[in-house]
Amino acid sequence: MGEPAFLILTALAAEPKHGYAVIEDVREISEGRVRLHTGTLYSVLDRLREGGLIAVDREEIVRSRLRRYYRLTGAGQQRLAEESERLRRNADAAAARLAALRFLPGTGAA
Amino acid sequence: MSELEAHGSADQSGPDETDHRLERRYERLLALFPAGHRAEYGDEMLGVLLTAARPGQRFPGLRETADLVGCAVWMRLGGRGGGVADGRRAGAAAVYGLLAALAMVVFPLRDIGSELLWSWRMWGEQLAYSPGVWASLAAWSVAAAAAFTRFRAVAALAAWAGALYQVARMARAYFESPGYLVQSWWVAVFAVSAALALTARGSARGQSVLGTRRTAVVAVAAATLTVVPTAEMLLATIEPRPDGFGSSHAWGGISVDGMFGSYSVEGVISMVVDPLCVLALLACLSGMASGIRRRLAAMVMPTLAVAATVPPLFNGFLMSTVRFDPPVLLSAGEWLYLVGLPLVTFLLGALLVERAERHAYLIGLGRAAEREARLRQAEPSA
Repeated sequence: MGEPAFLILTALAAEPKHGYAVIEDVREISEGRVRLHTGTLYSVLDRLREGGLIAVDREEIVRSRLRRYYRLTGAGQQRLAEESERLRRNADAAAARLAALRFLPGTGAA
Repeated sequence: MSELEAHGSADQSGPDETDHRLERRYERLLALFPAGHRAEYGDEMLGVLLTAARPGQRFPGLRETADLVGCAVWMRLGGRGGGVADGRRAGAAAVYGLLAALAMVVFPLRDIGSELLWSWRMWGEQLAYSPGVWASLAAWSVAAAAAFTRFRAVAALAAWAGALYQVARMARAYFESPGYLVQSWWVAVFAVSAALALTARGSARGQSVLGTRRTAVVAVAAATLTVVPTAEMLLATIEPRPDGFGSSHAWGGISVDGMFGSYSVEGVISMVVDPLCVLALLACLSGMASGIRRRLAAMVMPTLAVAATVPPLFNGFLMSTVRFDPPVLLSAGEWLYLVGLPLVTFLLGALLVERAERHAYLIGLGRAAEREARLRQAEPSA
């Protein structure tokens, strides 16, 4: 799973959100590092919908324009949990290796 | 007030608060996306783009433009991301391709099984079929088998090979027997529609769209339809005569004209089992999602239109052409009808599907807006 998809699922884990709110939340979650553009957002949303990880929660008409709220599905929650666990394990492994590296003679790190 | 709330209060604002020129420029960029994606997300994307725009912004930002163009090109080239939007079309194409390829295997096999058994029981010898018949059967068998898999190219190529064989066979016979071309035109239209569907299905698989229960019904019905004529022939009474001729009587004492193809002996088994299988298939398809069902109808419509209108309209031609040597050939107008009818019927079907869905979508939106307005009205009094 790519970073945009992971962050979008994370944004929707809190509550159903519409497109613009997802963009803003992703920026907040990533501390300003990831700025999703509209084309990318809707291509990822479509893919996640197709995979059954998210679904349309409700639709509204706001000033003559459609606003759709997306929510995380059960499969989406499970996938997000698995992905978080995988990333955590990788991060733990990397941290452990880096910690060991500091004590190796000749690395200049210690 | 946070940035999001500030946007939320005026977000996705209407044309009265937004620069029309910016809106039009964004619309032009969104027009680059495939129609399916645009229909599903266009309005929503425009809302997000205008919400994210700075006050007084007149042109789309460079990064936003690059992102929109990049995503549109990616989807046009077949990249992922247009799934839900185009899912119904691909799903319907996968189901239609699978069923049509199966039909192109089942119907020749019905004839071949029955005829081989007939000749063996009547004369004690086997009929010989041309290599082309076996090659065509093999091509459609590969297409039907590959239609169950994600090997899109294999299924499409095999189906095109089968369809082109059908067209070549008709073309070869045309100058000697133009009636054959007219009578079997619907088969060519059906074969080409199957090949087109298997080409357009993308990564969708028919059985995934049908579901396990419906796929099982399709498989059982196809197998039953295949063996019915052979079973009929096996149980029939065959009485060969020394002069090389003979007679056959279907099991059960009733002989009828074939309802689903014509083969050597047709009796009570065909009369009961064939319609039951077709009814089971129709019942199975009628329970599918309306979006898939509508598209299936649009896909089969050209074949049905040709099968229903060509025999009565070309009856005079069929009767007269055999009386001349060399036979009378089709006129330009008749060719125009044969080629144009399937195309026009398909386009008309596609147009009706799109109109019906747009209509249903707008009704849904209207109802949602009405509900929302009623809730808002009820709020102050509560």
